[in-house]
Amino acid sequence: MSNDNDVVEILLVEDNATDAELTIRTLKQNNLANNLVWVKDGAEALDFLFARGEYASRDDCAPPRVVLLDLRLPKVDGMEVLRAIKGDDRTRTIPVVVLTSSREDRDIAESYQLGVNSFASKPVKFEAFAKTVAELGMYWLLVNHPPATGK
Amino acid sequence: MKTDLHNSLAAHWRKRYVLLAVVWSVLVIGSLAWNVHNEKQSTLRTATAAARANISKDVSFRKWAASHGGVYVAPTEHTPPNPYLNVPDRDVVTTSGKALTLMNPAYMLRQMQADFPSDFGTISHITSLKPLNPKNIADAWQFKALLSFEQGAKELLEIQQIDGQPYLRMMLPFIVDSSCLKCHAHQGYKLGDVRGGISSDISLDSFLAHEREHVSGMALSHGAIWLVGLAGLGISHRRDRRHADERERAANRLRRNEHSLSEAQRIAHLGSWDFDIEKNTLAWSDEIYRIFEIDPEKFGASYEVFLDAIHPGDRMLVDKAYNESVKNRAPYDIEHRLLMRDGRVKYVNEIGETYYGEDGKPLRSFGIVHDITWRKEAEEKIRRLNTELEQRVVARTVELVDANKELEAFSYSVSHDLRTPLRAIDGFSRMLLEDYEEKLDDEGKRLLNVVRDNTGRMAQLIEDILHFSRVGRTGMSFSEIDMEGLARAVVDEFKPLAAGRKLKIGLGKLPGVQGDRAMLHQVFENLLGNAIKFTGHKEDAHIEIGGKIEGGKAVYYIKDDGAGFDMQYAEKLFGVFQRLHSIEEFEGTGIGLAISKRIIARHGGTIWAEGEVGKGATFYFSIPVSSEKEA
Repeated sequence: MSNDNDVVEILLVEDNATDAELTIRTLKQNNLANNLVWVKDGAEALDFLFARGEYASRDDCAPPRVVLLDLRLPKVDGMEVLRAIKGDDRTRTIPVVVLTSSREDRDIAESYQLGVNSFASKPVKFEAFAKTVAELGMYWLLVNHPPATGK
Repeated sequence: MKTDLHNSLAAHWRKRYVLLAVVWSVLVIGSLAWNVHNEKQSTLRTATAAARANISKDVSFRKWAASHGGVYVAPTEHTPPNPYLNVPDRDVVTTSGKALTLMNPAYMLRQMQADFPSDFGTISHITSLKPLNPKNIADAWQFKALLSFEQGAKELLEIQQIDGQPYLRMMLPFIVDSSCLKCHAHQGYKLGDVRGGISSDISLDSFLAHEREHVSGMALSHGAIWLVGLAGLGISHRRDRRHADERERAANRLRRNEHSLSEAQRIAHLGSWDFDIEKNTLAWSDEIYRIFEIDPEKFGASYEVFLDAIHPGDRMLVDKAYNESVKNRAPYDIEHRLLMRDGRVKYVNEIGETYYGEDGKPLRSFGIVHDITWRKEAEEKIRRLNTELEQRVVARTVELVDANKELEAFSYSVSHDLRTPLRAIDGFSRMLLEDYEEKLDDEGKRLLNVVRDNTGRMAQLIEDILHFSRVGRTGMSFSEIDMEGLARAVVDEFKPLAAGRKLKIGLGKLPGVQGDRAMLHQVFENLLGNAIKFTGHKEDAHIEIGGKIEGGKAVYYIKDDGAGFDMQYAEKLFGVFQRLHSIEEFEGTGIGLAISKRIIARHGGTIWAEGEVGKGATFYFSIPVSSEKEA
């Protein structure tokens, strides 16, 4: 799913293929998925962000505009990924949005403790889900100004 | 046994006093006998003196007559010439012609004795073994006396009964002198021979009467003294008996007290000790020997034996406690162990204090040793049970925590994983509808919409069950809740929902309570929501909210005149996902009342409902209030 353009705008961390498909479809319908990378677990997400393993050749100085992070992930779960991102100077400034099925208070609280930029739960009803994803994409890609990168 | 002792003691005292009484009686009787004897002697002496005087008088009289050779008297009928007198000139005539006859001394004396016997109270006789006048012949006693004179006796005394009266008879010999020979020479008497005797018989009547008087006086005085003595002995006996009884009673009391103390100590397992510091002697009560399990026959009480019985690990402690107590003049109270010979350990509580002299020198220590082994063992048992209990509580808590964690993990899993497939079903159905719109006919589209409706309902159910589970798990934060304000806020929230309906909501005075604001808000929301929902089919609906304090509880109600319910299902109302109406009639999953019930239960209260089909329903809930609140 990586594209030729080096500038990755959205990193989607989602193990569930159907959720990923619904998300990407919605973003596409809103022209927001042109530079989107989809990784299926936490380990891969960290490899991508820290330019290691499979992504060693990637320019780690080019961070995504936003990370859409699910919490229930195989290998390294979402909270660990969040902790790693926010615990490292190289990645701390990357906006991370938790996009998950739960609305558990403790998930929300923990995420904010770790420094999440936004927390959104995925509605079950498709219309509501599509609306949420579209608004998130719009906001983080079009409205929000990320800090200038090291370059 | 005690009575026997008492009796034998009493017998001892009685015997002693009987002996004393006998001795006393013998003394008094002896004294009386002695006195009576003396009296009799005295009587005899007096009588003898009288008799002797009488005889002496007769002798003198006769002597006087004899010295004159007799006396001439005028002969009378009473005094004829003595026929037994054969001397010249026995009868003479005076110059004037008066006839006279010679009265020899014996004649004179006999006549005097015969004529005036009563003048002297005596009967006198002159007698002889060879009388010239037969009248002067001796009687049997006189004869015996005269014979004894012949043998050399100087006098003879005897008491004889004469005519039934007691008489003292006395006889003195009559010795021949020259004057006698004038008349009696012819009988062959020589000078110094016993011519005869003069006897005097004195009536003892007056003497004996006098003696009797004296003796009875003595008897009376002795009797009185004897009685006084006996009375004294009696009093003394009683006093001694009383003293002995008192001593015995005191001894009994002492024995009883000692027994009580000893028994009390035995029962309480509490022994006492008494240490005389100056004499360096230690005394133990029996119970101390029992506690220490020391044979009092083999070992006397001593500080060394005591220290030996103490557990080696506690010896220093005890020694120190005692010595410091003596030094600091403060009682000590310690617990320590004893080590028995067979290795058993006993626990004792030892309390002691010391008494000091005026100069501040410690004189005597006194203390107790209380066997508290059973208490220590009980304490140990309690401690062990407590530890076990704590361990069990810990184990149970771990189990509970585990179970809770599992439940949480389950609900977390439900929260995350159950929604994802639903979203896929809904999302992909929607994609099908969008992407294949031309290929699907209306029936196909309707079926897909049914699928999507049910995913929505399923999502709601998941939502509700998670909510219900959260109500049971989340912590509560209690504060003073203005229930009236809370209810009013909820009523305001529902206003948009009721807009356009002819619905009247009345809010009465509601008492405040201590509770969790968010949870109680939820309860009002659920109950008022229900009331609004179930009055939805009614033209003119009324809802009333009220409350009061009753029996230590705040009771609230929300009453409506809506659809109501059948009372036989009243219990079912509060079950999870329990519904009494169809979805088509009234929407909802049936979780609201279950959540409300759980919230009220967590406040320590109860929730219940009354209703009638078609007439409406009233939901009540109560929450306990603190007592000062009630007042």
